[in-house]
Amino acid sequence: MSDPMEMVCRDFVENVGDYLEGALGLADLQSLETHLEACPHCALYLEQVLQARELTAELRRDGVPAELRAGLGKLFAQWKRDRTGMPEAGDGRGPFDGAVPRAS
Amino acid sequence: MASCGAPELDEQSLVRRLRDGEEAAFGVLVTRHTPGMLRVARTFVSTPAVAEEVVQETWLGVLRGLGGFEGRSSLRTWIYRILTNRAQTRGTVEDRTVPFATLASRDLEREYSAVDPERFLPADDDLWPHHWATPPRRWEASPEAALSHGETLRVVEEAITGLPVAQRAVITMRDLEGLDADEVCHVLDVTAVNQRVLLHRARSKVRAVLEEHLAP
Repeated sequence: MSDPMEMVCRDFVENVGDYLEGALGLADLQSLETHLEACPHCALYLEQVLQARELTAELRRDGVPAELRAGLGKLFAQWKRDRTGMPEAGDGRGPFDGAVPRAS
Repeated sequence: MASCGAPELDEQSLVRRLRDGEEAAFGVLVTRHTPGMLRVARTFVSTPAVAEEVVQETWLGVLRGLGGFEGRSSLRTWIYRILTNRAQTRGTVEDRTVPFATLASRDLEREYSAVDPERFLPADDDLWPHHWATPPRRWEASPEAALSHGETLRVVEEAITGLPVAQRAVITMRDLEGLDADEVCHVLDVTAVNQRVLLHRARSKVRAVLEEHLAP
């Protein structure tokens, strides 16, 4: 159990997934962490997986295409009409008219 | 009209206001969830236009189903479940995808290694069997490389687009949209183990592509 090379590099890279998800059993966790301390290559590997995850998160974009937003506004009005059987008394200044509202 | 005070923006009150037919509440939810919904839909259907249709259908489904939403799962999980069901139906109609469970199991059955096996020493190596023969190449993510940062992101995006659908759906929900593991399992009807394996494969692939790009 205390042999730092008990977990080989080839197994390390396959265990990184469960490690990051907190899903390793105690024995596997210990041998992975022992290996991690002893092996700079695997430490670099792990660092790169984390960087990959951060870069992936940067792909996130906010914003809704204007046409889609307009379409959703109509859809909402239609839903409301269907529900109440009443035409909506909109003043043309709802969040779907013109300016795009932003939630902060 | 739309208050920006935090209490009015929490999920429960938004649902309540939406049930009352308040358009501003719908606007907040649309702004909050639509970008992610578009990306997730896009993993199942072939064009952005179809993804937009799927998102519209989903919002209609949300409005119509609102009365039956009991809050047992989070609103987001509920919305994404509706979304992925619609998207997969559309995907099937487009003859592009099959049910997610089938995609996932096909993917999981495939032979896989996070790193090219050639990069490790053979099992019969005298000293270090299965240790690195060709270690990961260090890459520099220096600030002066900011100009090429956009290019790097493009490479990451391409890598994700090129993933098998099941992996792409999971990494999109987890690492882009920030859903947690339980939510993704619930949305996609996959087991916790399979969700983890799909995510692991996807992240390993993105790392490998980055290494190729940044440290060729």
